[in-house]
Amino acid sequence: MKDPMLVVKNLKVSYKLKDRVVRAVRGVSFKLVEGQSLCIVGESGCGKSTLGYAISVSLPPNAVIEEGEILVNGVNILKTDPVTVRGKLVSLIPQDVGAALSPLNTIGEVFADVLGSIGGGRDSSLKVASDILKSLGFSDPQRILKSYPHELSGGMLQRVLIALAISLNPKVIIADEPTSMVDASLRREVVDLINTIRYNYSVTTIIITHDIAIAPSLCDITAVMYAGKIVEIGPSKSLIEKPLHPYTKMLSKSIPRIMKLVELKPIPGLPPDLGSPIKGCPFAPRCPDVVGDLCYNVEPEEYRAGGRSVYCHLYGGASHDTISA
Amino acid sequence: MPVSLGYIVQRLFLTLIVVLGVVTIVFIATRIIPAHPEFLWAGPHATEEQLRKAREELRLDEPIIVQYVYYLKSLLQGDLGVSWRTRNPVLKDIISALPGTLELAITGFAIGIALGLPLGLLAALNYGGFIDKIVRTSTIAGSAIPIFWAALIFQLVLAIKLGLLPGGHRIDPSLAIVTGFKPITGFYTLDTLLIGRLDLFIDVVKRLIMPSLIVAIYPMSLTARMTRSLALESLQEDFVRNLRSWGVSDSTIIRRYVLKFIIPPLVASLGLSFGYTLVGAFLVEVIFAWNGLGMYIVMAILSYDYPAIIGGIMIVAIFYTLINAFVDILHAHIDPRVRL
Ligand SMILES: Nc1ncnc2c1ncn2[C@@H]1O[C@H](COP(=O)(O)OP(=O)(O)O)[C@@H](O)[C@H]1O
Ligand SMILES: [Mg+2]
Repeated sequence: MKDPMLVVKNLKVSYKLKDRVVRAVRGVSFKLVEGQSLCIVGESGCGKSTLGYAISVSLPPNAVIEEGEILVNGVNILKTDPVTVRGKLVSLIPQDVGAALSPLNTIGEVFADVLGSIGGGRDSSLKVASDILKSLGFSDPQRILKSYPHELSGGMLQRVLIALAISLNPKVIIADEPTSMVDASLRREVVDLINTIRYNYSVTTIIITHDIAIAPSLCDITAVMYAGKIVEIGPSKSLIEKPLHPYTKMLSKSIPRIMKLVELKPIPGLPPDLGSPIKGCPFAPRCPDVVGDLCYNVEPEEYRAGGRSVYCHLYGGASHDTISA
Repeated sequence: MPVSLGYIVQRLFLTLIVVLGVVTIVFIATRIIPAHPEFLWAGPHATEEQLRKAREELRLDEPIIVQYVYYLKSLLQGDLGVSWRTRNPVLKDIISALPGTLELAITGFAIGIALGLPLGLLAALNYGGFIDKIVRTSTIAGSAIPIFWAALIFQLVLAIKLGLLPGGHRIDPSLAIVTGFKPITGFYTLDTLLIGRLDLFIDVVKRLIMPSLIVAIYPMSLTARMTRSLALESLQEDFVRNLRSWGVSDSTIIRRYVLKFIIPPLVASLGLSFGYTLVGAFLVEVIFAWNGLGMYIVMAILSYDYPAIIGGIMIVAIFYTLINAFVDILHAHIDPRVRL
């Protein structure tokens, strides 16, 4: 067994607001070895992006890491100067393609500053940038470098963002909803591109998505997040073919499947407000298989089966004497 | 070219209308004040006959509308009339007074921006912290303090009590007489250097420090406040987080990205505030016995010197509207999103 490249241990992240605290990530743990890829799926507002920003050391100023560790290649990046981590150990492929780059700077300026942050002049930076762009399939990198973001199509921008994220050879890359803002016709292309860089650079990848359908083609492992926690994690294929957690089951039923005329079932209700305290299983109010008081009062513990972890009372996670206590 | 010729013509036309409006209002205001400027014109101890002749020369007995038409007629020929107080052509008086005001206002304005910009950035980067609180409190105070009050306090403490800096005048009056100093451009810092008199230059600079610091208070507060809020807004943009996550340092992000968003709106509102700074300079001039347009207009008002009042205020109006037009055009040039 290889040493893990990325270890996240009991990570808790909150946002401090004027009148309340939003607990966006409430204790997340997982491990990935070099080159492995993880999909994080879940509805919006579950803390997926927050987890991604925490790992890429780019949380907004009002966020606080309450607890936990993030180790990259054995280094605790939360205790290291961010300047030596960002872009070099961990990098981010951001969510909103349209707002991801400054409208007043050319792509070349951004590359020059990103590559310049490890030393090296403007000309050599642009040379490197043009090589990276070429390797990602741009036939005329010089033109791209001279362009402003609004002069490029969504698909091109997506590739530029990927190029920027990998330009300092990070060990871990996090892609936040890489397919959500591009045309359906381009999804395949983006998925292929991420797979290509993953193999070519043997980089450990985390892909955040609310589209559980793309998980098997993109990732070895899939983690389902709900209300700031992982509720189920395991090998992508088996997790999607045979989901255990009721939430995972409902997520996979809610996706449209080409050629199959099954009725789409959106999940009724909304995820809980992370700004208020949560008691018991956070999914209980929406769960079709809810088992009375137990689910409402006791937080489910981990239950392991066949390389899978699931946090649900259906599988006997919690012992019954905790209720009476 | 983001600015069309049509736009420039339109702005010049607008300037013309504003100036005409100002001239008309000031003209009417001076004529309905119950004053007797013929006493000034005829000199002390004038006889009835001399006073009658003075009223005739000044056309004071004609209907206002006739006086107004005469005034506009000579204005069209570039003639602002003769000052009743100094008996010089008003235009000549204004041209010699203007550099004093501009030297003061421009120096104060530049100091204000040079201090306000870094203060605002520092506050934004320390959002909610100690530096931020200090900058925020002092900029609110800075834009609320009445300028003449600040001028009096500065003068009292720095000049009169502590004797650190001279308390008035653009140049030491006796030194100017002894050395036979004659203004060339009217900007004394420049003129003293042009004639190669370092001692005079130092005297002029010393006298400029206090009044220009007072003039700087308002632009500094405005710059710091605007820079802070614009920077805070930009720092929340996705692209700032992304640049950080790719390894770009905060100072590079500020210098090469955030400033591009801050400068255009800053130029726009600072440009508009230059008019306010000019007015501030007028007040400071009066308190520091500073020979400039403010002093000239105040003296004109005190002595019912109608042509000087109208001419002086008209020049201010022209300046004000032209600066605004210039700022808009500049804004369009540095912000690629603006088209005029
Ligand atoms: N900068 C922020 N300040 C305060 N709350 C935030 C901030 N960013 C996200 N949140 C809150 O944190 C929770 C998780 O958000 P996020 O991580 O973006 O979820 P996801 O990516 O799964 O949609 C949400 O309730 C969201 O409103
Ligand atoms: Mg998100």
